[in-house]
Amino acid sequence: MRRKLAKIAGHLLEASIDDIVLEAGVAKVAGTDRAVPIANLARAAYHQLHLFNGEIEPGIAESATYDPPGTFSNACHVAIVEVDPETGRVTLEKFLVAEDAGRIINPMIVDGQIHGGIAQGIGNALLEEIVYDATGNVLTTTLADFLPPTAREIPPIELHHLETMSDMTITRAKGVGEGGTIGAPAAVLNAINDALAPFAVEINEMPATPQRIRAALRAAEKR
Amino acid sequence: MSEKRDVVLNINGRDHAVRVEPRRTLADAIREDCGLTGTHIGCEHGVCGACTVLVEGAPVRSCLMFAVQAGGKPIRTVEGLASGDELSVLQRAFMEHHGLQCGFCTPGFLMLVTGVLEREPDIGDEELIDVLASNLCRCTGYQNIIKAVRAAAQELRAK
Repeated sequence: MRRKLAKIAGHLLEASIDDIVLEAGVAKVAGTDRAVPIANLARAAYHQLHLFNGEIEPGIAESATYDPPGTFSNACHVAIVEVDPETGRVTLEKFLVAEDAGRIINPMIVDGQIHGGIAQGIGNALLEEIVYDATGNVLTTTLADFLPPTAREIPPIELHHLETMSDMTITRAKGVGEGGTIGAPAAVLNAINDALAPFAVEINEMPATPQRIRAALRAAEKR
Repeated sequence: MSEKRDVVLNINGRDHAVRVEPRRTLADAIREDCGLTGTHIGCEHGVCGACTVLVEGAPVRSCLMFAVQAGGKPIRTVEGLASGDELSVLQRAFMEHHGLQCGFCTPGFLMLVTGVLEREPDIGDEELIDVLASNLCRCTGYQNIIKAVRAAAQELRAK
């Protein structure tokens, strides 16, 4: 970007590109008072290309991408659940997460990513299942059978942030989003198993549907 | 039944004279025949609520209503919420509270809540969650949608 602006300025000021310095909103020839506002360079780049004998590509947009070595966020999830042993129904009372995504650039987006990830994890833990019949046909082909969570199933989520800067990225940020999905199912299942501990029942299959919980409780009663 | 019928759809105060098969859904007619693509079609079986519009002031799954059923009735879609450049109170609340990520479900949520708040301005926070549970969102985990809707309900009540 700097190079391109300097090149344009060099043309407009009839100076060598190496003598152009950019400062305080202008491009100037070092050691002189010859200067042109950067806004004018931008205008020239878009609207006055005839000035440059085809040596300047239109526009001043620059973009670059890079692929940092693996980064991941760390998080700790806690679910508080209520399990009704009569019906097997699980109600999430509250969800708490502390996570570390490195530098938080846009807090609103980071929070949104974590909320969404947790909701997907809760769906995974309690509701969403692709069921096949004995001959391999999918039985859960509609959203009336395959159940993503609604606003009713997702409890208030309390979020805490830690910011440990990452050395692996330019922005010192880490990835965020997946952490919500990965942590939530374990937290929910652990909470359910904790609630069912007095019945000596452990659920190790997701989703922990009322049917599965009741089946486990019935099996425990028979033992 | 494939013979086309003439229907006038009144959308956001403007009449659209369309010629549609009786089996044409209102959602398809709004998008394809009237060119108003703000109404999104998600599941097409009445579960997700992305296609919610207001018909005579009530939230309706436009994928479950035929266009011929809506003839002559006032229909409102997301395109009708803002007045000129000014967003509605609810739209602005969604923006301020980051109540959307990919935005696909947003028109449905906006129309659902607009309809409910007009009919029941004093609706309680818990009842609002029951209302919101009629539509699906895969991105937000609903937290910020709930925040936005509560803020908008409060602002509208204060007016």
